[in-house]
Amino acid sequence: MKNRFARIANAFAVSFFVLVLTSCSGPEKKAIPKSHTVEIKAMQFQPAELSVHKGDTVLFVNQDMLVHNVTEEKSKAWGSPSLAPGDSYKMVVTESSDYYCSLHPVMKGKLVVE
Amino acid sequence: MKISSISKTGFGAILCMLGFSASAFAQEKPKLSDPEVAFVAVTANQIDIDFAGIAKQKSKDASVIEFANTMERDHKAVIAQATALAKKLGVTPQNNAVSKKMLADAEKTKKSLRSKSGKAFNKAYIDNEVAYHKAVIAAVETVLIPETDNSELKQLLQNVVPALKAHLMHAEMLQKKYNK
Repeated sequence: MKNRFARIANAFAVSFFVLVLTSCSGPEKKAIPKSHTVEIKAMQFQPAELSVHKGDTVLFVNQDMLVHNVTEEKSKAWGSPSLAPGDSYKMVVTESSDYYCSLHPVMKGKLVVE
Repeated sequence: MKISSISKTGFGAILCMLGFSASAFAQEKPKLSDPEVAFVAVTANQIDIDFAGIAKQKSKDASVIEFANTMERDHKAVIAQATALAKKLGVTPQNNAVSKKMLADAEKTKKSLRSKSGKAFNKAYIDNEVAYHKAVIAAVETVLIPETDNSELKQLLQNVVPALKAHLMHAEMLQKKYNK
């Protein structure tokens, strides 16, 4: 009886050790989300193309003299409100997308999720 | 404020680009002071706001109306900034022969636009926006900026150029649609 109890206890101990090991040394490490900034000035998004990781944050800052916005180009899936000079818009990136200013359609930018 | 002179040839060329008759001015070798440059800049913006107003009244095309809204919004913003700068500098923009001629010619264009309707109006409005922005960009870059003495006024004019170029590209984009 005493031996049987010892075996069960050992089995629990080994299982716990394995569980701790696998949880600590798993191959998938979650990247810490980063913050990026896109400036809007001289009628351009700068940088016009930005590489990010899923979950990163992008802050769009309007440093131009006119009102702008940031709008997903293909289906307007996401977009900022109108940004007066000095205003900013923050978003978490979930997928790659092309975007533009719907007020000035020649202003275009791109977010590339790596 | 220092009075700046504009060469006869350069000024005449700019007036031609703006669709004006250069003859009245070329002979006089006109000069523009900074207060006069400020007035010309405000006038150029106001003229395009007026064109936009006509487009909003006459067009039913969503792209044209959106473009007109953008012209109205942007050019009003530029006028507000120019007016604020003039106030800060203690300068009163001065009417002058150039702005008077610009307004007179704009009246002719407005009359022509008002006489059109439907697709003909859309085409005429957008064609005029392309030509007008080309002329204004040339005038700002080759005459108004070089002839301006005050650094803040010069900087404001320089800051406006990218917006004018974006407006031109937007207008050209629409022009392709109406010239198909």
